[in-house]
Formats: sequence, structure tokens, C-alpha cells
Amino acid sequence: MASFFSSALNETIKGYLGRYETKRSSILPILHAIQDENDWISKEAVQALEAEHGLSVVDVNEVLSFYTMYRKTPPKPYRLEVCGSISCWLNGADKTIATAKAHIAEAEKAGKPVPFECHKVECLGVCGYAPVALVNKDRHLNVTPELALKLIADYSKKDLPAAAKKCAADLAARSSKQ
Amino acid sequence: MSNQVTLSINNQSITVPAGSTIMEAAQKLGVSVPHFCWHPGLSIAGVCRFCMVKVEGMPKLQIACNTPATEGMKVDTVSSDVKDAHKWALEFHLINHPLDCPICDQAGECELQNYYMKVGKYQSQMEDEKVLKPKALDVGDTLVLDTERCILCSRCVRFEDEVTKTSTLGIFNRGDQATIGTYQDRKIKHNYSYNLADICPVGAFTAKDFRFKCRVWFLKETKTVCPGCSTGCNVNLFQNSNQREYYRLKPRHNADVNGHWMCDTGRTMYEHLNASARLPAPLLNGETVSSQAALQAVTDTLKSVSADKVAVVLTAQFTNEDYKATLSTLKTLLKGTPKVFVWRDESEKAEDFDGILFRGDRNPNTRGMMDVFKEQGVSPVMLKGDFSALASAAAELTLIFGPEVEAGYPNLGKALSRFVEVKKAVYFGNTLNESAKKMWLRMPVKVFAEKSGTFVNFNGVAQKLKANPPVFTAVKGVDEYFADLSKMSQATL
Repeated sequence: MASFFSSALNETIKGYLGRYETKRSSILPILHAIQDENDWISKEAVQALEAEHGLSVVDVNEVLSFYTMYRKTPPKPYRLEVCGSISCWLNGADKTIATAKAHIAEAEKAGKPVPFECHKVECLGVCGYAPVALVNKDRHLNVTPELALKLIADYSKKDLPAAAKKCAADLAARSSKQ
Repeated sequence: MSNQVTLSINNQSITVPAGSTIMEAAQKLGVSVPHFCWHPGLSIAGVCRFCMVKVEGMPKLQIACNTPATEGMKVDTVSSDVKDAHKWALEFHLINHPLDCPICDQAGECELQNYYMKVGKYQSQMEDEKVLKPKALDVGDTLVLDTERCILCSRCVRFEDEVTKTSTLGIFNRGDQATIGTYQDRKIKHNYSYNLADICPVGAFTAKDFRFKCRVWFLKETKTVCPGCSTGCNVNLFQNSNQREYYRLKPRHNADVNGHWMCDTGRTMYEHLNASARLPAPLLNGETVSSQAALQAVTDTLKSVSADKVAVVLTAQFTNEDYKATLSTLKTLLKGTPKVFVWRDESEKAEDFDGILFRGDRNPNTRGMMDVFKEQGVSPVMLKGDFSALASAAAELTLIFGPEVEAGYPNLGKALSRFVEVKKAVYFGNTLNESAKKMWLRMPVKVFAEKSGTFVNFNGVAQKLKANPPVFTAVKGVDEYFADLSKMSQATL
């Protein structure tokens, strides 16, 4: 039977499994590795972890449901994650978030959706350059509402990241199966 | 370094092995430290933060379950700041607890309830709405889960991980949304599931077998031994003595036999004790007679036959005292040794063992019976699926001692229909099985809950049974019947 994961990902998972005293200890990095490749962690992925790598679904789900930074539903290709903790909030993070969210919603309404979603997250640890934001794994400093809009526009022009492409392809394959 | 440490708890000195925790020392000393997540049969989690004690020299209160005892440590479990900590810990545990004690089956044996009566705050300061969570979840054939009542002590999760190693349960989500649960439709499927209802300190896990049947304060417990298999787990048997009705069994700690647990098969060992499952009076040729008349019929027959025309068929479900009384009385009355057979079920795999407690030998006293045979100089013949040895004995009188726990004898009906074929079969047992109807004489006997006696488990540990008042007062134990028989035959000599 073909593996649910790519062969490179399988190798990564095996590496993590051997790294710690118990298999259970490797759940966090394994879930990150899956998320990096597939853009999110599906139920099927969790079940495949049990079937192919012997990690109990209960153990994996305990971890998965505890942390909010694992995506349990298919996301948009880019996530604008703006820090909403004290320093960033004092420097207008909530305005940045409101502007970005409104822009995304408007674009959706106008029939020209941007490949973005916007979340408020907790401290990103760069308080000196508040407000701070992440676009996927890229860090951006002093993200004013204007910069947020520019970031959305710039990233939208780029080619989609590999994980997002894989995510879209997987979803298309799944819906054609049904 | 010495491998013993001496500490003092509430100014009482106690010596424990090095590496013991304050909790263990307190238990040894008999000082009760309130706790939820700590269980002597499971690993330490330290999650409930309830077992706070004051340790001299430490700036803050410590949890007794996970603080190692050290030499010269001075522990205080009764001061006002310890009590205050307990009070507030309970207040926090109750933030999202529904407080539905009047309709909760755990009420009366709930640790949350008990501790609250002792050290509760009584006037809650919580103003926010309680978080609502799934209730009455079907998590297996034996259990119902109410996640609102759960205080997340994780005893059940650790039990699944450490004892049965099935890992069916987990804590999902976090904060006030955290719930105990199974993964989708993977239910709890193993032979030790009722232990989860036992170790649950609150009413989150309740046993389907017991819920809504009886309030726990109507039940009285008897310390006895489970007759379900040759392990002989120590149990508490719960009876509503007003109703003469048995409701359940729970394990009783014995480090040498069963530890803290018992299996689900053993939990059903109350069903055959109740009146509806039992033969109330002797039946001679299908007619109800008094036990006096029944024993007279046996005495008369015994007088007219020689020892080699009497067969005794034994199952290993009676006490040592029963076997001794039977064999020695018969030997005296017959002036010789009758033919002895041991009846085992056809399907029995006596050497099976599930790795935890449950054994393939479904008889509680195989070892004890063999010991009595040796002592009485009897060499029995095995009847296992093949009853030709009994038929060829051509006995005039056959005394059969049927199994009390019929679940261990799935081929009972088949065996009984073979026993009916022999001349004058006397069946000691409570079976209501159709195939037993044509027996010459059927004698009801006391069940394990009503007898005083000894079972010897697979490992040679002899354990005493403790007698409750019988459900049917006229019904006697095998040893009592044989004492009567012996008296009657001497009187008529």
C-alpha cells in the first residue's frame, strides 16, 4: 500500500521517532513536519501516523487538540498572523488586524478573493518593532495597516508556496474521489 | 547513605524507604491527606494540586504525592493555611462541576462530595456560567461518561496506559474546554473496564451494570473472595441487606493476589447469588420436598449400596471444608472410598492467562480440591467432554457437585444431560438449567457469599470466605448437609 506521506516526510518522521526515549515524545516535531508539507493536519494524516508509524491516535489527538498553532482544517495559502499582545496592541495591532480582515472580506465579496487569512496571535517576541506580524514563516516588523495591505498585495502576486499547492491538490483529489 | 528516612508528620515520627513520597509516608502513618489524582496503583501525575501540605523550610505549600520524603523533614497537614489551600483547591475543582449530586450515581461514595463536606468553602464566589460539556456518553459496553462531572485527575487515562495498556482514553483540548474522551468511535473494550468507574473519584465514569439501581448508602459490604477464576481476587461484595439483593463487587487491595484491580468477568459474580437465579428448595423426582426428606432419601440409598457403587462428581468451586466433609463422611458411612470424578468443562483451557489477573481455570479452588484429595488419599478420574468413565462405573448412586458459577461451564447443558442418564443422580447446585430437570434429586446449596470456608488460589494462597445471611434460610452448605447426613445415618443404625 502506498504511504499517506511522501517518502521524504516518512524519513523525517522516522528520524524524529528514533530521537527520543519514547515515541510519544516525538509527536510535536512530527506534527510540525506534516503541517509544513501538507499545510494542515487532517484526520487521515493522524490515522496514517498510527497505521504506518505506530503512534496512537489518542496520544496524537491529545497534543493536536491542545495546541492552537496546528491547523486542523485546510487553511488559505497565506496566513497573516499579527501579534496582539501588550506591546503590539499598544502600538495599534488591533487596527492592523481590523484593516487586514476587512480587506480580505471585501475582496471575497467583490469576487476577487486574495489567498490570505488573518489571525491575532500571542507574543511573537519582537516587542521592539511592534506591531509585529508573520506571513507564514516570514517575519515583518512595524506592520501598520498600510504595510499589512501592501504585504497582502505583494504576496498575492507571488507563486503559491509548495505546501499550499499540495494542500489544494489533495483536497481536489479527495473531492473527486467522493 | 541509609536507605531509610525518618520524617515527622504532625509531630508523629515515621520511617519510610528512601525515595518514598510524603503521601506514602502519611498513608503508612494513617494520616489522611486529601487527594484526587494520586492512586497507589498508578503513576504519579500531580495534576489535581489538592494534596497540599506544609513542609518546614519550604516557602510554599507542597503537593504530598510528588514531594520525596527526606531525613528530618517536618510536615504539617492540619494547619490553617493547609486547610485554606484544600478549601480553595476544591472551589477551583467545582468551577465547572455541575453539582448534580442528587441525580448522580456516585453520590455517597464520591471523593469530591466527601472532601467538600469536610473541607469545603460552602459559599462559592464563582459568578461566571459553568462550561457545558458532553454528558452521558457511551464509551463502551460497560461504562457511561459524563465529561461535565470530570475533574481531569487523569486516573483513567493512566489506568488505560499503564494497567491495560490499551490507551483508549485521552485528555483533549485545553483549559476549561479540556475533556476526557475516546477517539471517535473507538470504545473501551477490555476485561478491566469497571475499574475505571472505581478509580474515578467523581461521577464521571459510572458503571452501566449498577447505575440507577441502588443508592450506595443502602449497601453493606462483605470482604470476601471472587469465585470467578483461580486467581481469587479479594473483593468487597455489596448487598442491600433489607432487600436481600446483591448489587455489585468491587476489588479490595491485596498486594499478593490482585493488587488494586479485578476483571469485568469477576464483576458479574453477584448475579447468581440473588433469589431469581437460584433453586429455592430440594426437588425429589421433580417434587419440592424438605431438605430433611431429601437427605433421608440419600441416607436410605447410601445404606443399600457398597462403596464401589457410589460415584462422586466434583467441580472445583466448593470450599476445602466442603470437600473434606463430603469425602470423610462418605468414607465413614460407606466403609470404603467411593469413586471420585472431577468434572471440568470441555472448552476449558486451564493454563490461559490474560497477563493481568484473569485465568483460564474458571474454578476458584482447583488447588484446594487437589490438596484435599491428597489428604484423603483419593485419586480422581477426570471428566472433560468424555463421560464414558462415569457411565462404565455403573454406580447405583451418583453425587454431583455442580458449578456455582455456570459462566465457566459453557457446555453445562450437555454435561447435565449425560448425568441424567446415570442411576439416582443427586445434584448439589443451584442451576435452573432445563437439562437438570430429570435428575433424581436436586439439592440447592449455599453460594460463596453465604459460606465460611477456604479457597486456595492458583498460587497456593489460602483465603477465607466470609458468610452473609443466606438468601434462602433453609438452604445449607455442602458441609452442613453432610454433617446432617452423618447424624441421620448414625441415628437410624
